[in-house]
Amino acid sequence: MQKLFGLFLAVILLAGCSPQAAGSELVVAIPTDPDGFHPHQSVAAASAEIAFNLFEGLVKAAPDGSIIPALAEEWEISPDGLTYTFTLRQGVKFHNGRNLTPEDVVYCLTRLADPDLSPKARDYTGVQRIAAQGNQVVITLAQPDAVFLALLTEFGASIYPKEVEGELSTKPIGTGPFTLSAWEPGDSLTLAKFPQYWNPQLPKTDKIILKIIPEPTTMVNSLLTGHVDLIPRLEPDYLHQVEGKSTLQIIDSPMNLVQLLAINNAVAPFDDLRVRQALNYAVNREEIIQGAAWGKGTPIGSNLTPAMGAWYKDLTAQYPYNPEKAKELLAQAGYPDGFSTTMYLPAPYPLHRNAGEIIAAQLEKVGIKVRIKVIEWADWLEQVNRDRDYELTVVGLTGRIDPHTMLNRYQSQSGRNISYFASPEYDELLVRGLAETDHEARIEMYQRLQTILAEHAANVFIMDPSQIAVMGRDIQGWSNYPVYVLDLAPLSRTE
Amino acid sequence: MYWLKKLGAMLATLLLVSALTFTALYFLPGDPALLILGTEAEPGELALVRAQLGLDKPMAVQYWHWLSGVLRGDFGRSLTFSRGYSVARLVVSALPVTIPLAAAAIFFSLLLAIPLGALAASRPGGRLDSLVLTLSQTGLSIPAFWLGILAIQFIAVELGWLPPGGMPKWRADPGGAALSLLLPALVLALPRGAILTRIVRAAMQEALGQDYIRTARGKGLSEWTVISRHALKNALVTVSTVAGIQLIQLLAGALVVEQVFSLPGLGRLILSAVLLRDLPLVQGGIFAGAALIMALNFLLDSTYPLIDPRIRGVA
Amino acid sequence: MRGRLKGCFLLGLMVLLTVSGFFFTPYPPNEMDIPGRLEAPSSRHWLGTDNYGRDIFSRIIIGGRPALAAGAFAVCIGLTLGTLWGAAAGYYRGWLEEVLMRMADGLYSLPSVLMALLAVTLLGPGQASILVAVSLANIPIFARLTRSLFLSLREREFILAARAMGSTNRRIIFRHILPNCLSTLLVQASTSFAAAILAEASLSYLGLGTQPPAASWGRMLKEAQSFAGLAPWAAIFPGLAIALTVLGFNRLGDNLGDRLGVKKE
Repeated sequence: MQKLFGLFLAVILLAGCSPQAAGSELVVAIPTDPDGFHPHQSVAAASAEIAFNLFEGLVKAAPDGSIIPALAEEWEISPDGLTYTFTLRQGVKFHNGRNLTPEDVVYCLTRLADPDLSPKARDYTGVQRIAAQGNQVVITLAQPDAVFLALLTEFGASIYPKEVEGELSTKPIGTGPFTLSAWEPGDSLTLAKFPQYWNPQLPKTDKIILKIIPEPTTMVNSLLTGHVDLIPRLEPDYLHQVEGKSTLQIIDSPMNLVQLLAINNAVAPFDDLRVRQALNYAVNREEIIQGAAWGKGTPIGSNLTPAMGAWYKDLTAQYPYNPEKAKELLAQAGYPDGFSTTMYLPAPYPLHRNAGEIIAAQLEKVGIKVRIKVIEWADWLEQVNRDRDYELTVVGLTGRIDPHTMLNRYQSQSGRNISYFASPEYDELLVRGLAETDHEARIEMYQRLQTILAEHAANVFIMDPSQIAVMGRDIQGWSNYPVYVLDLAPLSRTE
Repeated sequence: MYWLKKLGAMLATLLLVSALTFTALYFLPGDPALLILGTEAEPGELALVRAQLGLDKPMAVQYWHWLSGVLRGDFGRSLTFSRGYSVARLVVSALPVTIPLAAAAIFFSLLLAIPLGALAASRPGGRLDSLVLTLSQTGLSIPAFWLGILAIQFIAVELGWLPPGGMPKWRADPGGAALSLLLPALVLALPRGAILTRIVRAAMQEALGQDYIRTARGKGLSEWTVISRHALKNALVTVSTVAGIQLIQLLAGALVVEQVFSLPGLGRLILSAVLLRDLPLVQGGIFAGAALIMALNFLLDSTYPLIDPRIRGVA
Repeated sequence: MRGRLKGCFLLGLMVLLTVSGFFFTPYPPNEMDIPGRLEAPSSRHWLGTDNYGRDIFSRIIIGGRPALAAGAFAVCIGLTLGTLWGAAAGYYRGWLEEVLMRMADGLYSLPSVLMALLAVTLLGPGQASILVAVSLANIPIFARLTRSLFLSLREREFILAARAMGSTNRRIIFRHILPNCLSTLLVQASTSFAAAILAEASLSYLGLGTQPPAASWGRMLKEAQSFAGLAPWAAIFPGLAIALTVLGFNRLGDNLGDRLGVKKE
């Protein structure tokens, strides 16, 4: 027993002199483990946000949502919108030391579009032919597809050397600014600077450790005690713990997430437009933004967010908060005393859970009794997302950089149309929008699509929550993106 | 023969537990393939991913596949969580968290229980005795996760004495790892220590009433020698058995504490795997947990006959 | 004697508070007031407000219901089924004992959280699932205890005598052995009641129990955890409610044990 105690004491004493690593190193906190790094197989958001630093495609997204060159130095689109010609950057090396060739691009993109090999092939069905031509890659489409370039920025369209195919999931080899030097599942991932990266200015830091910390409390506490340098996405509930601290800085901006109270338009009483409109009048967005997001959110009125720039149409004035009007509409629809309904809330998302609880209290005031059921994400995906067997739910729809992918889920036949929204005008306009090559005309069409959703009160669109990044004052180079990535290469610590 | 029978029963129980969890998980709603595809899933992709994961096979086939793998020492691969990593590796990496946590907790609880229990027993009915009893009743009544929340807030965050949660790898930072376990182990130790205090007290009281103690006292030995040399030694035999049972309770209790302090232990691994419907990982985790508990049970069972000769004859 | 009174007083107070909640709470327990959230205890809100501006005192009163319900269920079901189970094993012995006790061990080794998860699956999320889980978890505890009592009692003279006089097995079990186990079982019941309250709190803390907006002590702690620095009262009082109630039952168990002369394990 004495020996045991002595041993324990020795271990405790050792703790006082743990080694401090030298050199440029940053620790970034992430909440979940990635599901692997094969660009075609991995689908977790946690993988995509890290892969942004390991892999590159022909083009990539910029912090303002525009599309910028990556492996392709420049590109040209034929006037009919069918042929894309990419000129590859010279002297790009993979992490295994081999030079990038046009054949690698052809191999990866062909495999990506093959429905037998890649679960992501659905987005690329319009691709007719991919061919290498000298230092160029030519992609031919069956019909004009205004989304195509944006799709090439996604993780799935990353380029890797053919010979590493088998082990890619755990040993990613790409052309990105970092290599994956260690991966302890459930604990951490270590990214090391790739010295032969084509942009010699990047990355600014030699080693970045991504520490997996599922609990936000622990994440914040680790930041406060200096065990972590940066939290890319902080839950707003924990904001108060970091606000006003002189050693920290907070960078927040709309994250391009559509948070909504989804309504099943196909079931009574929600198949009545007046009931859906009543819900829209009864929900007080400002109170939700204060109550659930601690003020860090922007109200929205349709299925796009202000982060989408010119595509976005502000429709928040369509349904101002007006409980009297809501009661009136309910009475007209035949529910003068309200009714009872059920709301599913996804357990792992406190922002949606909190918003749902506040909405339930708001609806109670106009006579709608809401029974809340907090369910696990797995159950939510099955019952709500797949089977669409629900009445109300609160969820967030991840933003893309092209409006089409955001809006086509309301196409009446879409498998992702969880609201069972149906409008012939909407369906027809979607088809025309995809084929339209004139930018201005296209913008007008997508604004009209948003208006249709609002007029039909397809859902109650709540807010675009802010991405809240918190880091030490000495950290520089951080940018929030309107897509789900972490850009770690420009990060550094000032001396 | 006795040992063989015990071992056989143990294996049978393990098999039963594994079949039970497999069946239960199979019928859990929620589909790993759906979780992988998220909110963007379309039916075609779903079938492809299900086939890739082997989820399209009937339950019995899947179970047999798993069981035959286990017999070959292969616990399969995780479906969602760090896909591509073997279950065995994930489970094994969680053990150096849970086992030291439980061991440290039982150590602290004994450290608390033996002196307090012995003190209380030395003057039964005295003021000290009733104080110890009250303390142990209180310790027994405090929820561990509440204590954890308060300890994190006041000891770790406000005073900054100990890490507020999470844990580095032993290899990378052994001191930091030990420090990270200190607060959770103390939190976990309190209720167990409270129970053990009562056990020590009762065992000591019984021991102190025995003839040989009276003989020892009669020989003029000091009270300290009587208590520490004679009575305590005898009482500890009982205490060690009970401590083993408490260790099992502790392993289960570790889950919530691991959650509060976000320690990457076995309990948390299983819980997150269940939420992610990662069948092979849940199976592997439960299997490891059940095996651990049963191994402890086995050890305990085999010490019973040594302590209580009455059972030896029956067994 | 004084301690005994205090224990009963504590328990009575908590039970009384919970029962009074059916007729009266200072504020409607689910009424939100976002601008007035996380207010410190004051004469308006005795125990302060939570992150939605709801009155914590009112919610603690309401939050006692799922806790006491879990205790009552665990004891009623665990005691009846577990005792029968353990009695059968301890009395008949042989292969029946082997099978029953292996099953009890298996059930015992399943973490209660997993049991709760399974129950949540079958019955949907909510309090019913927790009740099923804590009840199931208590069956093997009572089974193991009863069996060990039976093992020590079945070879006693008065049982052997009864058997020699030709009493039926059922009569021996229910008339002779069980009454001798009763006091020990009663003490275990009050300990189990306390443990079930703790289990309900833990499971609610993990989010498996009572659904929002209804209050339960464990869920209140979960919600308060992120604000522990800003509003410590929200993290302190619900925990205190759990601790006091559990302490009350533990004291009750001890007092019963003393009075009935049961040695506690």
